[in-house]
Amino acid sequence: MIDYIYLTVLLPLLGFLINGLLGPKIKNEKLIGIIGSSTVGISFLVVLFALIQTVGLPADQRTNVVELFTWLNVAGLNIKFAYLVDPLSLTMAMVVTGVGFLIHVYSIGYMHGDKAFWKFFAYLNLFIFAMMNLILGDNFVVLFLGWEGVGLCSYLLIGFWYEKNFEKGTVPQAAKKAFIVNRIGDFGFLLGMFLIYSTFDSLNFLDVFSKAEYFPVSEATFGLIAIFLFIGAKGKSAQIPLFVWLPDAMAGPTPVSALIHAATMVTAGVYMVARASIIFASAPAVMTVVAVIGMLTAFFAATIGLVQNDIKKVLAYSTVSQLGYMFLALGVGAFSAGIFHVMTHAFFKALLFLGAGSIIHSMHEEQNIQKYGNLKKYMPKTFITFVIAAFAISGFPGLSGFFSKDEILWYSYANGNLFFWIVGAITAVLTAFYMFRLVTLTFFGKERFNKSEKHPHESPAVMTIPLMILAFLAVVGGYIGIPEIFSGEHGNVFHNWLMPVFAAADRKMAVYGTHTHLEEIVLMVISVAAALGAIYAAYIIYTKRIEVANKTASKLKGLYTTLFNKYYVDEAYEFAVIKPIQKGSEKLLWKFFDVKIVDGIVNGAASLVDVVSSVIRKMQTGVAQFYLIIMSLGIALVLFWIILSL
Amino acid sequence: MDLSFITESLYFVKPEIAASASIILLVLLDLIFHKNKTIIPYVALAGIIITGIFVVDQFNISGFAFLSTDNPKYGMIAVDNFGAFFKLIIIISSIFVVAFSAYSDEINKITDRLGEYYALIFGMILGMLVLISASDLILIYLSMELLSLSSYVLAGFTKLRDRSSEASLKYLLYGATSTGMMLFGISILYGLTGSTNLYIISAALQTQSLNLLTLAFSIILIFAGIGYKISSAPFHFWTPDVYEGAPISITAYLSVASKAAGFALLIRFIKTTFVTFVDDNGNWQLLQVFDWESLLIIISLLTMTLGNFTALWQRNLKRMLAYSSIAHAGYLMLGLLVFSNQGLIAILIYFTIYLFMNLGAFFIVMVIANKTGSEDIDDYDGLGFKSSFLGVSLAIFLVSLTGLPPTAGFIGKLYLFIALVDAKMLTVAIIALLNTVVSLYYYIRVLKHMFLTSPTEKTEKIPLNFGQIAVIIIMLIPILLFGVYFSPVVDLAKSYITILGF
Amino acid sequence: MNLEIILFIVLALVAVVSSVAMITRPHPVISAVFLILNFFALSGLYLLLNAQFIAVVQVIVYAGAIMVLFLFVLMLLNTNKEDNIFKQNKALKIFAIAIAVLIFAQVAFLIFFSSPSDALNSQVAESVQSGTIQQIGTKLYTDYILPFEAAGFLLLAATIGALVLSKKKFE
Repeated sequence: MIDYIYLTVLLPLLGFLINGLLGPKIKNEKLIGIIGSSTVGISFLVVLFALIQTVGLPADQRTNVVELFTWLNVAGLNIKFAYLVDPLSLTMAMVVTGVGFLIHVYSIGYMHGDKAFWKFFAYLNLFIFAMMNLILGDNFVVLFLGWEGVGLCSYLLIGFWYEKNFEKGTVPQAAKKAFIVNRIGDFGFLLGMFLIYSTFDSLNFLDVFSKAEYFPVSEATFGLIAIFLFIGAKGKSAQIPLFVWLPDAMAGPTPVSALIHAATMVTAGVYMVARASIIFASAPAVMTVVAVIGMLTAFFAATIGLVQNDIKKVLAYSTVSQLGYMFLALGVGAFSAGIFHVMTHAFFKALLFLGAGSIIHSMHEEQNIQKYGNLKKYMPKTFITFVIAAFAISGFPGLSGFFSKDEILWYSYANGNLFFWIVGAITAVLTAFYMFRLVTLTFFGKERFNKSEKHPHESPAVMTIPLMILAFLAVVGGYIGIPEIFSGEHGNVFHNWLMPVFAAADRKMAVYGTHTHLEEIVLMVISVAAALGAIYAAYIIYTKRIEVANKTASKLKGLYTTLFNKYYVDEAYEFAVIKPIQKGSEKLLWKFFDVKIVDGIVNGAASLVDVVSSVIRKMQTGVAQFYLIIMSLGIALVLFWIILSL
Repeated sequence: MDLSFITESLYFVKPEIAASASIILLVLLDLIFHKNKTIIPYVALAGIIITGIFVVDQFNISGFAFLSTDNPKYGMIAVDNFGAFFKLIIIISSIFVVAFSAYSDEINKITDRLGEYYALIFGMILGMLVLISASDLILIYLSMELLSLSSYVLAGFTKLRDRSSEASLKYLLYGATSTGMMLFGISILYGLTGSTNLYIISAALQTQSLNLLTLAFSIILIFAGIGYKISSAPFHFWTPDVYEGAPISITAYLSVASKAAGFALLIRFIKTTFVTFVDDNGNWQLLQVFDWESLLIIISLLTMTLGNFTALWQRNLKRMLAYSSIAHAGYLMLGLLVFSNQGLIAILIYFTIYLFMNLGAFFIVMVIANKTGSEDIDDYDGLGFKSSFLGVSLAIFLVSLTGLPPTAGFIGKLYLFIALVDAKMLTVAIIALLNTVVSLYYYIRVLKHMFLTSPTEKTEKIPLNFGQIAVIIIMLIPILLFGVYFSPVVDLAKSYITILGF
Repeated sequence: MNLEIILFIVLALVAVVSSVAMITRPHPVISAVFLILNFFALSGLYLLLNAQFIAVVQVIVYAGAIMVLFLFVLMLLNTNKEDNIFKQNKALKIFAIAIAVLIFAQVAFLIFFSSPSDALNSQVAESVQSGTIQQIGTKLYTDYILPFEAAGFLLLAATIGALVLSKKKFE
């Protein structure tokens, strides 16, 4: 099936075309939903068979390239439209199509009755199409195509309910914010691509990476490339300082938040860094930057998550925080641990979002967790699956999150230093706390909503079955990556599977000190115990001792408001970046250059139209002369330059 | 006296002859059918198509026509593949402009003037065809005047609005000034070299020792004339006013065809006159008059920056597209300033794509303006929902103009940037890239108005007839197709960069 | 100093002064008269260059026919003194003059302070010949037949254009 991997790209495209072009005519929601989901479902099967086939191959033959056609061939730049099928891309493809399929199915129920039902599915399929290009592309150009494509879909889907208001602004504003912030990242990525091409004369992954290993390229060049690529990754994966768009992206429908802004697209940055692992490994300084940024993002986002009241906001900051974990892993050179966390996170975070969607659905679009309470009575299936996911993300031993998070924490200490571990562990504790604050406020205690107005009810099977499947995955998903202390030397299946992809990077990186199993176990026990304590504390505080929370909040009022307002990052951006640019371009370029000079004479005078219309005509001829003067000035300046230069 | 060389030369100018015959035919038909002029557009279309057939016939034919009696090695006209390519661009855009005019309310209000309208369009076509292959400064000047004069009148053709007349007058003023400068430059160049033929001038420049300063002066002045045609800074000021005031069909035509002719002239002028030889890698060696690269880099970057940044604040779509077309002139110059065959290929590719995306955007703006009577961006609120076909098509054209994949505009920009990177001009590439980021903002703003703003009660569904849909689809297909599968365009461009003499 | 140079200086001075006067006079008719003077000075310069035909055509066509047309139009329109654009914008005027002076200085530098080019081996003897009507006619219909035809179409386009623009607004 490896040779047919392009089907996984074509099928979603086909779904997009059918639903996009014929959607308004079909009108039958079921049919549209089935078309949309089945294309992704079949793609999943194709990936699955390709995976099975690849596993059957010897470890050194697991990298296959499926060429479709030569895309462009200019001046030594030969770019083929080709897909790279290797353990890394297959892992990502499994997650995208698998989780994607479940979310498609869920959306049939969630979007039921929406007037643009067909459009939603068309966009979702388009997203899968772009995402698969991003993952499977065998060169930076195809990856970039997918990269831009998912950005566009994200924009379209965030703005899906474009007539609504979102927080202080409107939904379109939130969509625009996501788009603009992403462009900053994209620009960095493009620069990185330029540099790669000018350094290695190629943009093909296998080419570039093999050259990167052996070419005599200075560390500074590697550093520059890595920094630019990392800026790109920051934009897409919402890292400091470009994370501001992700919380606002929650303006989109909840399945979109689950699919794009939790499970798949936001991990594209992680994937890209892992893909270019050899380049990063060749630039140790940048690796440290990646680790530190990841760590800081993880920590700060977790602290913000502590006090948010919007259920989706909490989950959004939690996503930012978990993405920070992944970058921490990449930064310390634990690439496979990072990808492992991408996978487990996709399971439990998608589950959390879909669960949240189910809750929001039954609570009539109410998203404030302070207005929930005791929902376990009304929606038991959602409750059970949600709690499983919450345990998983908190790192409860035996669940998927435990294995991946523990691996990251361990490597942050083993390959990094104790400080990384401490911050990482504190973040884990915070994560456990805010997740169970959310769970407790939502499902336990007393109903804090008006029962005569709202009638919470369990969601239909089309929504709950995906939840159950995801819950199952969130439980068992970790067992393919059991750490070596439990599974013995080379017993980590997931690690061995990805090994060939990261081998070059591992070779290039410095040899790290050895650590004993005892250290690992001690650290693990400490972090797990602390997280369990946090879970218990959150449960107690928010069921029985709510006054503790209020007291702490009022005691630390400054801190509380800072956190509640997300460290005022948005305001800082507004003040430091947006306002100056607006003012600058408006005042200088528009107001001064065009209005004052050009239009100041033409249209600026237009405001005087009523006063003297005859003056206007003279002014307008005046402008013509003014233009001509500028023309002459241009010639005079060029002549000056030539006289001086000769 | 043996005059057979003239009759022999006619073989090389069949497209031009066809265009000339069409002008006369149209003028006569206008007199004959002065009651009912419905036939005129069909005659014009037939004329363009016949001219086009002759152009296609000229592919892979090369040679000089109208040889000089003193120096029979060279002639007035150089027929080559490069010229044929640009002529084809002119012909295709002319066909579209006939379609534009057929669906333009502005033009349909003045059916009794159709004869003159199409005769003048053919005046432009003839001017451009000659301009593209002219290799003599006198012919260059005359054909440029023919092109300009016809466009001045067409810009003010409808006269329904004062804007239109004003546009015409301004256009005339700028045109007169810059062609005046150009003539001055030509006279100096003639004084230096004793010839008006580009090839003889080139030979003279390589053998004689000349005062470089005077030579540079004449080149700058000639560039003023050409720069005005391609609307590059600082000769671009006329563009927004004229584009806004002229009927949309003419605006679209000026922004594509007239610009293409100007670029063909600029490239031919520089390549035949100042390029001494082309090395194996396709890099051009230029006569060292002054720092060509720096000058063109400054002009190009200035052009795109001014265009893009001013476009940011436009609320009138026609005016916005005018500024955007200035910016595109800046991008196109990137392909020239690398002075290599690679860059030339990039220009040809870009023009092919620019033709469709720019005309497409203008066409939809026109269709909408027909109905709403306005090009203001606020009138596009929620249009994407009321008329989704128009909205989506315009979105595709604008995305392509921005240069985002998977549209063809991306390919055009990609090849330009590759040429830049190849020439080790990373800084220029980065500034140009920043410019496209800026351009994104104003193009996407239209999309925002169409798709993310709720329709107001003013918003109406724009009715479309079959012909309009067909025109839009014909322009959409290349944009989408070449975005993914573009080797045909690239191959075409590669085989059509040969300029006679090299 | 021979006669040719003296004549050149005189004619050139007349041409320059009259053209400056033409653009600075507020009254259009006076401007037009200065334009005629300018044309005459130019035709004198053409004569000095052995271009007899051009000199004569200059007088007949421009000074004769076209100027008469100009004056007719001016009188029919009955224009009064034109309001000067620069009166409303003094800064613009200063700006314009400054640039003019700048370009003038540059051209002067070009002429007087840079090394001259190779002299062309100009055919001075033939130049008297080539200024005749016969020579010009032969050239026009052989070497320059294409520019000649192009000029023809230019005039046709101009005629159509004049027709279009001079008609009253279309209904």
